[in-house]
Amino acid sequence: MIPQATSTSNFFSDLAMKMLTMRYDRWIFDSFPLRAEVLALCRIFYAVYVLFFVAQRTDWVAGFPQVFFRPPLSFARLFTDFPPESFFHAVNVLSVVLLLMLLVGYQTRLASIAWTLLVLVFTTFSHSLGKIDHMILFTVTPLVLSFSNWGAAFSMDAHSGRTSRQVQAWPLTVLALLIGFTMFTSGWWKAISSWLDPGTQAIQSKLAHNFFAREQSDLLAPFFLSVEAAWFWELLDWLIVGFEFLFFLAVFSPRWFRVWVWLAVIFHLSVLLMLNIDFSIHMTVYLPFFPWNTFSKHLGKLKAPVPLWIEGGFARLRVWMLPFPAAALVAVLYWHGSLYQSVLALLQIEAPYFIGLLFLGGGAVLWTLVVIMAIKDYFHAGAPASHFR
Amino acid sequence: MPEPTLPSPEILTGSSLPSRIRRRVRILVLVLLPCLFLQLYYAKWVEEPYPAFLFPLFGGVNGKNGIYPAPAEQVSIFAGQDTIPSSKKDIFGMANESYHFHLMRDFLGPETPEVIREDPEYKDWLYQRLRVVTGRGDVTGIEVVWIMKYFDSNVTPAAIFHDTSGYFNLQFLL
Repeated sequence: MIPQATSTSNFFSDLAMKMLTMRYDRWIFDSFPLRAEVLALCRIFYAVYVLFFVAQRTDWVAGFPQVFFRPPLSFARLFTDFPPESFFHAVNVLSVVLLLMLLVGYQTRLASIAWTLLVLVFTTFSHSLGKIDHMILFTVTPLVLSFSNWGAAFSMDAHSGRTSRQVQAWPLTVLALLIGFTMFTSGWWKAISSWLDPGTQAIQSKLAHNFFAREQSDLLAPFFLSVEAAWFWELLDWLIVGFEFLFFLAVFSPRWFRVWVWLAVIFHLSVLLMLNIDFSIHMTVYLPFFPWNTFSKHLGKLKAPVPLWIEGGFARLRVWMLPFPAAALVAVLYWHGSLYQSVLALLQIEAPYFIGLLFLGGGAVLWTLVVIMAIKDYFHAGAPASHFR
Repeated sequence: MPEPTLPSPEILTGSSLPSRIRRRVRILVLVLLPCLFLQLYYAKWVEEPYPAFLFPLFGGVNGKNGIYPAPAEQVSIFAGQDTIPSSKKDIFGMANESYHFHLMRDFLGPETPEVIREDPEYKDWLYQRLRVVTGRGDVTGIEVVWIMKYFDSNVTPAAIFHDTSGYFNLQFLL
């Protein structure tokens, strides 16, 4: 009798293990399948956004004396001083070249990995000035998505046959896990400090601190400063902690994760309007989780000529053409510190919140419209498998 | 006339991936999860490493009973007989703006250690920097007055009073 009982329990434990493995597999491999064209658009958006709005001259770091060099626990601890200026000039040139390669999809995987490594090395030294920027998600996105083969469409690689004609979905799950966990750390920090204490209103404190100490007093900051109701601020404290905390749990449900990413865009927009802190750079990280299926379903008629036009452009590109725009972009970068600043200088205007409002404001509006479409589809046609994708 | 498009690449999900890749990815994710929690533990109780998958702690309230202190500073550069008002933006203008506040606090703050203030390389850098900022060759010193502004949400939605919280002074021996 005993062997029978053992075999029955083995059967059930095997079954449970198989089911668990299946669920685990389904989560990793099937949660966020994206068409190659969508991945390519994410790649192009990343490259264009970073090239024009983020990439800056980095040689200013070399201007600080050794006494400023206080590296965090990192690769920089192997050094005793900032690298020489020539190192940072190399970073300037290489970053433009790699972003251009990413944009046109030339040696895409190599460019993605090299870009992430380059940014990690540079920021390790810049953070040695005593401040860590917490832009890690933005930094690792190309590295993670390079494994999805995001150069499989709209790229020189695709036309030269250098890359496989297959894309993989699992890197999107890894990226989702990293986003969810990183947001969770923010909620966790807050939960164990005084954010949930009803006697203190942490976000109001942050607003006052930014307003008076950091002169971040634009957009809606003056309005929010005039709001005195403690219950309002306490409610915000709890909502923020809850939102960030639950981000990690949302990772395990593709549908909820997409909802949470949409909320994150609205959250970052609110932070920009209230605290004047611009996290629009994270749009480059969130974009793969946009409800692309719903978007393309409703805009199917409009999109038809666009891929043809883009493909045609990439088919005509040749490697020998790349040094010319690269040299021009490096020259513009050196002219005013960044491509965006150069354009502003040329137009003689100042636009401190333009990027944030454009990408977070525009992104929040577009994202919300597509979510409304997805909800309408859900109630009209039941719950299709592609819902919210 | 656009070039003909390539056929859309295939999406490899669970069933279509080779088992070798599936096994490696399963292990990668399994290892990644504890590593993420480990770096969080390390950052909280030892020191924040870089790179790390962490967002900053927007610290809670420092004061009591709804009074929130917010530090600010007034920068004066002395050149010849003149006192020239300046700012952290002027002094650290070459650096990314997000670093200004931290650089001021650590290198021109009331708690900046004596070992930094007396470092010849630091003094020389600051002296050269102030010459550039003021456009004057006769810079003799710098003073930064650190002010703590108190904001009380229960009384009025503005900075209601402020105190001097410390000074940073440095004279250059010419």
